[in-house]
Amino acid sequence: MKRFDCLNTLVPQIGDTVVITNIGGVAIEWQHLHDNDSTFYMWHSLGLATSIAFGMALSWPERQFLVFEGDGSLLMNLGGLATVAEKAPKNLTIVVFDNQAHESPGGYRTATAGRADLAAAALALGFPTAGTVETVDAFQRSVTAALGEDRLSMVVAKVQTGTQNVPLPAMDARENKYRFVRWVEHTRGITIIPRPGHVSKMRQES
Amino acid sequence: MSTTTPVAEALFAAGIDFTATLPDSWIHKLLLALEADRRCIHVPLAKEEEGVGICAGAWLTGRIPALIIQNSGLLNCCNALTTLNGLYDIPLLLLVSYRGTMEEESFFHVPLGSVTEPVLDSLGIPYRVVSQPDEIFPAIANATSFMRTSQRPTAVLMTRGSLTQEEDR
Repeated sequence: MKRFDCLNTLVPQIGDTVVITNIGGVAIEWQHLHDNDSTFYMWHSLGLATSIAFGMALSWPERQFLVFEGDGSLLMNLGGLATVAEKAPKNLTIVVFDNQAHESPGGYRTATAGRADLAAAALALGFPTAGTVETVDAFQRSVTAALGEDRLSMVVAKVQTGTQNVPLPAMDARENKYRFVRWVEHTRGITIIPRPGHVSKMRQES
Repeated sequence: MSTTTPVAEALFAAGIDFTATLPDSWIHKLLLALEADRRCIHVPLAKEEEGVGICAGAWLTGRIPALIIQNSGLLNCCNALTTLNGLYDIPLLLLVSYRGTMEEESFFHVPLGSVTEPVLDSLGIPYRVVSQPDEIFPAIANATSFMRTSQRPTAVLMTRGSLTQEEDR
């Protein structure tokens, strides 16, 4: 099963769900398939994709959040899954593309190539639901169900290594941040980045 | 509210409405107060670095976050502060109990004292060291305001003398 084929099944149903991607090939593939203002691409800080998505889900409970994780990154921050399970935000779905390798730096195997089972770990740490899929059909069914359910969930997709040959993104991290934050400001009707103080004061005085 | 503390009130007055924490005995009462108070979301952490990610997500969606930890945990956060906050320019208030300085009574905290400020200097994170209780309120107010304006992390290092009203042992 290829990650790219799995991602492709999500494009028609993603709707207004906010997507957070892990670093590496998944970010490049998703940017090619379905880039929009409500997508946040993590480019470094391996291990923190789920933590970022979790912070968002707690802060904006009316929105659905979907994070694309990896096996290597999740293994770096397994304790973070316990933190997530304690709060169990209903609006968060974690999809783990488990290629059993640190693919980007050369394909070194991770522990999921051996005995580690991430769905079992999630359940043991308190997730209400978690499962593993090995076909594209099962992936689509499971993620559709997870997004429709009103509870925290994890889907572990066993995929082969390899990244689709798609154009590389032209957007850098700060550009992505500004685009995302301006979208949140507009959608929620809030100010995240403070407007210049002296201008605000001048307006109040005039 | 009977469980609140002066530091908790300083955080709320500064606009902080999202906290992620890991305990230190000096800030024990503060964490209990945050857990009990509905003016902020409080996330107890398994490890400090995940808190940097959680707080980044909170800021990106409209919250004003603080990560409240001991300085040993600050050292755990160096990568995330560099490759997440530094890469994107994402703000964060780091409220840190400052162990290992000359007020320290536990030998095992001593190594932290001499490295904490040089690490913050190296990370390019502006910080204030507070040594008296009445310095905490303005320090948190300024650090919170400046982290929002600069879109970068700021830190307040709280020595033991500054936390005499927070301790319960």
